[in-house]
Amino acid sequence: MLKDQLDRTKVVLRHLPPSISQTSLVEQIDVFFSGRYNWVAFRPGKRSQKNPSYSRAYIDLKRPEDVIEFAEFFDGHLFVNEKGSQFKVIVEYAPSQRVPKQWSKKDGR
Amino acid sequence: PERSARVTKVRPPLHQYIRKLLFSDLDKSTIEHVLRQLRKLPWGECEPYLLKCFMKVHKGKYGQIHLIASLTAGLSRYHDQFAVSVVDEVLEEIRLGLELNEYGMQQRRIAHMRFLGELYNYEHVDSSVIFETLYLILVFGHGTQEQDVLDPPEDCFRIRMVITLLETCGHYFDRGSSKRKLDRFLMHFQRYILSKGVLPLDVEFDIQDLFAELRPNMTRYSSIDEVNAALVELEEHDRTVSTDKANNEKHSDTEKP
Repeated sequence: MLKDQLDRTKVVLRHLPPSISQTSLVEQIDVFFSGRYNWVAFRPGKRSQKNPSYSRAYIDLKRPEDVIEFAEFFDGHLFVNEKGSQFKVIVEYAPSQRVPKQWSKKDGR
Repeated sequence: PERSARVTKVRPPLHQYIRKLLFSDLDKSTIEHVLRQLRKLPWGECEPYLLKCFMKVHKGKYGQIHLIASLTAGLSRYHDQFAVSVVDEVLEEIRLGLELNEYGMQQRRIAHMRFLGELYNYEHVDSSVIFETLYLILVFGHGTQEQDVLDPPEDCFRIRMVITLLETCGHYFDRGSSKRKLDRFLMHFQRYILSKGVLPLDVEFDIQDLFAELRPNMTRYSSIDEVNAALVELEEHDRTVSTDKANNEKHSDTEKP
């Protein structure tokens, strides 16, 4: 583990089901992590037969300690899609730790 | 099963316009204009499509990839979220390429390496991201059962990836800590190269060019044992230096904003 990982807060959730919606993902995150993150970016996957791709999400947690707990909970977590297929999610530090500067305008409060 | 005749994709006018701006209008002399036009788009609805188009750097001219990086930097002032997404997306593409290692994706993967390097040149990613990517390329999938699929012994593609990235931005790592980081990486790179055995001549020439440009005086080791010995020495040296440094800099703050 790199030294500076101790202050990293942005993680990426990979291998999410292609069909998962942002709303449903955020709901599942909020069960335990509501109020513990500053920012989420969701990238929907594709269900196409030819080039299917997983969905992905980036999340910036408020504290490095939350990252550990978040990874313990979601890394390897199974998401099940509407057809019953299982998707084993990978949680990693996002390779780029940048988050948008002006997020406040989309805070929704 | 029978197939229907190929249907030409009909794109919404806004998408057509975005494609025209990025794939036909964009060049050195029009970039200011393209940037202004992009800023005028209805962002709420266009952002996902714009991101998709920015990832298609392999469709344009290789020599123009820096223009897309420049646009990313230009847009970040008004749409920082977008610029952040571009970086995340390129890094994901690079990772995905390593996971799949498909022959048909090679051109695309090389273009993404170039794009990442240009994003560094436009100060849109940190050097730490570049170095992590470089090391990821050397080690990804190694020590797993899939190693022979992901990085077969005779496959030199990862060498090309490293060369492309360092050709694009390596010349900026010429002082201070990033210079040391590149020196160290190039030793690991040498070890990786030696693990491949005899290389095709064109790859060997590209490697020679890279070293000539970035570190003309660096020793090229001829065996893995030699590199390993040199790396052990380097690590010992670094350990003493960092102990000294820690003693000297006990009072300095972390550089976090």
